[in-house]
Amino acid sequence: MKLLVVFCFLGISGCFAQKTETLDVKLSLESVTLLDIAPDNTGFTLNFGIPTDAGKAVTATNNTKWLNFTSAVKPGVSRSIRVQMSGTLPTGVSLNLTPSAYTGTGAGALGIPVASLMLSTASQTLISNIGGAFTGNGSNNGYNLIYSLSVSNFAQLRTQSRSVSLIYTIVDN
Amino acid sequence: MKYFWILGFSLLTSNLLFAQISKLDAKGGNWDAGKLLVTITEAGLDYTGTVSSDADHTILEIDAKEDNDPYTLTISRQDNNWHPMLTLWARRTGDGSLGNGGTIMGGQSYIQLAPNAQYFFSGLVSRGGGSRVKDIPIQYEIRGLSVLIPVSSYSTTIIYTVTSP
Repeated sequence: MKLLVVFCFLGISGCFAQKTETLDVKLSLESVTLLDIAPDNTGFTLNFGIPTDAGKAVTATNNTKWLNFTSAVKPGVSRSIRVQMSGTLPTGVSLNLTPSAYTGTGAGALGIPVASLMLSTASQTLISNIGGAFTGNGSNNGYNLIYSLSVSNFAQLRTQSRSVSLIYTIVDN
Repeated sequence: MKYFWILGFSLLTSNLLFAQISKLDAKGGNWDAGKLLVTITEAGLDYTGTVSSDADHTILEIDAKEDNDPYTLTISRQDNNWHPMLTLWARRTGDGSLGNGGTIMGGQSYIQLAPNAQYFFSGLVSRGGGSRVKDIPIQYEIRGLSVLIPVSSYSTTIIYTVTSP
């Protein structure tokens, strides 16, 4: 009788057959580095104009430009955005750049902006500690770039016009 | 002698009562989804979020030893190196060739694959005229793509299992 039970079990269990098939799915994510000025990279004019009151300081500002970027990095890697000026400002004048706090529809490790920079021909860090992130595209996304022209030495100030270029670069640290 | 007849009857009835799947075949090979990734064209944007395989990347075939044998197909995934933001989905995009009397039900909407096996679709295998359930097209999709996921190679294994209930 024990023999019968064993055979019955073998007979039934052999009938609960199952078959298996497998396939592998692979996805390689590559490094991504994209940087852009929004709404465009056309130039703008900073004009001191004429003060309305005698003795009042002269300044000029522009906040129409935004810094957009997309960054995908390997684990442990971070990036920075650096800025440098090409060309020469009128004597007695300085150009400062203040990035806003991040705002927009993006996400991720969006970096840490510096408080303010006096722009020069030397490359300087503007945003540090960028990881995997995207700012959102277009104006009102990313970091608002607030340019401010000021007089550093009134004694050297002359009526004149100059053009300079600003070069933004995103680099691996 | 009495035991012999009881044993024979037992084996016979077990074969009749419990259907036997004899074959599961998945043609089409592995899926390299990275080749289909759409490049990000504008700074500030993320990936659009999904990447899909061809509608018939995998072609399944199921066969049984007896006529009108029921089958149930389950699907799961076993991760090798997978990121939790990525989700993997599968769906059946057609009925294939069912033969005379074969049936197929379910699986036409995407289901998200998980480590535990879950129901995909089921039906009957008809062996009339030597036919079987074959040429069932399967499509895959990966969702959750983002630059927030660290740059690396990710892989997982899809597991199909067919059983007779």
